[in-house]
Amino acid sequence: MATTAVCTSAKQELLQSAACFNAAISYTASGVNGAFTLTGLSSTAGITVGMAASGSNVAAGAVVASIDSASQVTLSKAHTNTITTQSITFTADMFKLALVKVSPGRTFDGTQTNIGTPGTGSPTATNLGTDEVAATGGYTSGGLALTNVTPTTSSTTALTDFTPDPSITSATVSTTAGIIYNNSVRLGHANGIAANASGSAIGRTVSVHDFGGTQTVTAGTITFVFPTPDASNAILRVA
Amino acid sequence: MQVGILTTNDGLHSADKWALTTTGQIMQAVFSTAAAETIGARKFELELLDILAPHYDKVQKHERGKIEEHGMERLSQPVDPREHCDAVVADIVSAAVKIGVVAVPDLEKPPIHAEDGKPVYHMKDVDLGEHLGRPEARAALAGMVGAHFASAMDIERSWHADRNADHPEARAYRKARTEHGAAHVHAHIHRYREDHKVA
Repeated sequence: MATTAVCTSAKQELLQSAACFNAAISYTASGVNGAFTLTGLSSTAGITVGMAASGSNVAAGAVVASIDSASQVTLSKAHTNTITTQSITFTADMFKLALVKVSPGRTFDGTQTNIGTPGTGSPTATNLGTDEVAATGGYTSGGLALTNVTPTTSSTTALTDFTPDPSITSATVSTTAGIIYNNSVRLGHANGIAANASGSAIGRTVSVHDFGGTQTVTAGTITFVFPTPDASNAILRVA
Repeated sequence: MQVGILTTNDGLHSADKWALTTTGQIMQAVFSTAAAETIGARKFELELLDILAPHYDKVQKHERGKIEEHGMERLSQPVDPREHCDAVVADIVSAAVKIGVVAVPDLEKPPIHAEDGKPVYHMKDVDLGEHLGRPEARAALAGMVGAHFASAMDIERSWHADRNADHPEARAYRKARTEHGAAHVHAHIHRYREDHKVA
């Protein structure tokens, strides 16, 4: 069993600018071989410093270092060749939903800080460990990738969502809860946030969701339906 | 922040099951908990179920048709439900116009009294057609329905990949979907094709 809650560490991380829920967005841009700047963007709307940039001749691991104008950004790594009016995709943090097995050893709740090494080790506040659903029957260890929807507001509440709802097909799975976590490296393992087993602050938990009992599917489809994205129900809200 | 779970043994979710799920979300968005129990809301709920099920059936069949037409190539095309959204939103708004004015609890006024611990409110009239016909309401409906349509389309593709699990393109698709999510398969699948020797 688990207690549905936003993790306290995730709230702290929001104040540390350590999470970006923006949807991926693409713009055409140009850049000189060896330079760091991308020019000629039709807009910089939806781009946040720290978002990963990808596209032909963009260096692997490049992220947005600064937003210089309404049509130019600077990346953290130099282009590997000339970029001539090509589509560049900017991607924010990658969130995943890991599943908790039936009769877990630990009661997961808002005190969870890290996902740790799913499938391995004792379950603790920093490790889902052996309480993860076994990686069989269509489930992959580490869980299901979620697709960000750029946060919005409704009245005085800010909210975000993940769309489409993640599913497992050809699934033979039983689960009791899910843990959403941030699988991107955006935060060093200082600032009071516990590191995972490998020593870096990836796999930082965002929220824990109890499924109200054991949910079982056999050779079928299981879909995790996120709630109505409004001020009263959205999966993540800041009121 | 409660996550709903949809399970179907031995295959895909039916159109009826999807219709029930989306109806629940629309009702939650349109009506307060107290208002959802009124007669007008109940009528609208039944209308939604009748409207949504055939639309889901159409979306699922359309996606199967596209998979048949394009084969494995369909797995790497963007999941885009927009072409299906206008028609269903128009049908929902038409149903709301047909139902017209509904009486719902006025939560802005203090309750009159409590019965069995539940507050009893003054009632007020709301024109459902007018309410849902607003551009922002239409956009919200399209967003909700479109999100579930996208999920239904993704599931069709995922089952197709499962049925062809040994195909290199299916393996690349599975890897891209696992690593990046269903909506971004098209943007990342090329990275995995080389690993799986897709020509």
